[in-house]
Amino acid sequence: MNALAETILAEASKFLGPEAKRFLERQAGHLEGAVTLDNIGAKDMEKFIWWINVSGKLIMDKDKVRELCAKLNDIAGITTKA
Amino acid sequence: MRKLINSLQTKLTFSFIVLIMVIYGLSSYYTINETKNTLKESAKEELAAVASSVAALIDGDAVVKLKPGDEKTTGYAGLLSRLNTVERSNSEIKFVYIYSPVDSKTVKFIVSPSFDGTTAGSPAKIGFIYRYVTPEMLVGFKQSAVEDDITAGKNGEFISGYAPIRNSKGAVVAAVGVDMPASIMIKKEKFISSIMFFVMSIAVIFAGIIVLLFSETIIRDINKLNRIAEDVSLGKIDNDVDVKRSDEIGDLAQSFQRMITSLRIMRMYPDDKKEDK
Repeated sequence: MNALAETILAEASKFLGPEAKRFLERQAGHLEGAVTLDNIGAKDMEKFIWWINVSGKLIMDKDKVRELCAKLNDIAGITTKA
Repeated sequence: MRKLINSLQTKLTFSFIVLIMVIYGLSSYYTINETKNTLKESAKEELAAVASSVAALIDGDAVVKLKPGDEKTTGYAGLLSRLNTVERSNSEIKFVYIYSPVDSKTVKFIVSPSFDGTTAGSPAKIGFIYRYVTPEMLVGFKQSAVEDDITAGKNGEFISGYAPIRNSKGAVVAAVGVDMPASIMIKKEKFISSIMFFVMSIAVIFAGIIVLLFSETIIRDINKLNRIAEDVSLGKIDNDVDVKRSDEIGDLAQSFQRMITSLRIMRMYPDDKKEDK
């Protein structure tokens, strides 16, 4: 798992609990190419967050999903700049 | 009923009320004691001042001239009238009298308009020997003095003050005694105590209401968490935790919500673990 994936997992775990990895892996599976959670890159983040937003609403309160997506956007922004 | 007694809300409210009562009780005890002492000191100061001013009004030379049997003389009548005026003009003064020393243990009344030495209401004979002498009464021949404590007698309880009477040459020839009923002081003490009790009751009622309302919000959210936990234990994970707080209960609610979210993920993707294997 790369550093970006670890950061995403750490943040998502605060919202999703111990099954966060399973959820994130599923959403990464929707991305084009051979992208997985382990090798996710900055360029995949926008689509990845979109999937989290869609699927997250099935298991979480909308406000919480929005909050999680905002955090992930921040992470994506920081990573892109770096 | 048992559930109510064992509830956290009852325990919290009861504990806070007990705490408030203990704190207020101790502070009231201290305040009432201090007030009593202050009232006593104030009464003593007032008595000393009254005794000194009455003594200054009395002609010491006229006092010295009075002998047993002079009750019909104008000199006696003048002094009697003056003391009567003092007694009537001050509602807090019961008896005013002039006395002089006989020996170290007894004194004699010279003029006493309302106390004949045993009962109230009739004047004392000149030279009536009074044996219930206190040390302060004797100090009154030298300087103004006040009894340290309440003196109880047939005519009630009094606090007394004394001051020396001087003749035209400035020599002490007698002393004046002023008796104030202790009931006046006790009445003031009771008034202050009842005010304190009233304020305490109001404070306890208000504190009780505030604690009740405060604990109500805590208990309400704990009950919500309890219901969610019960639902989860029965396999119902569709309800979110509706507790939004920024304290420890809020943290607990977030943990619950994370747990529920994880369970929902497991339900949504049931085969993923098998794939991992």
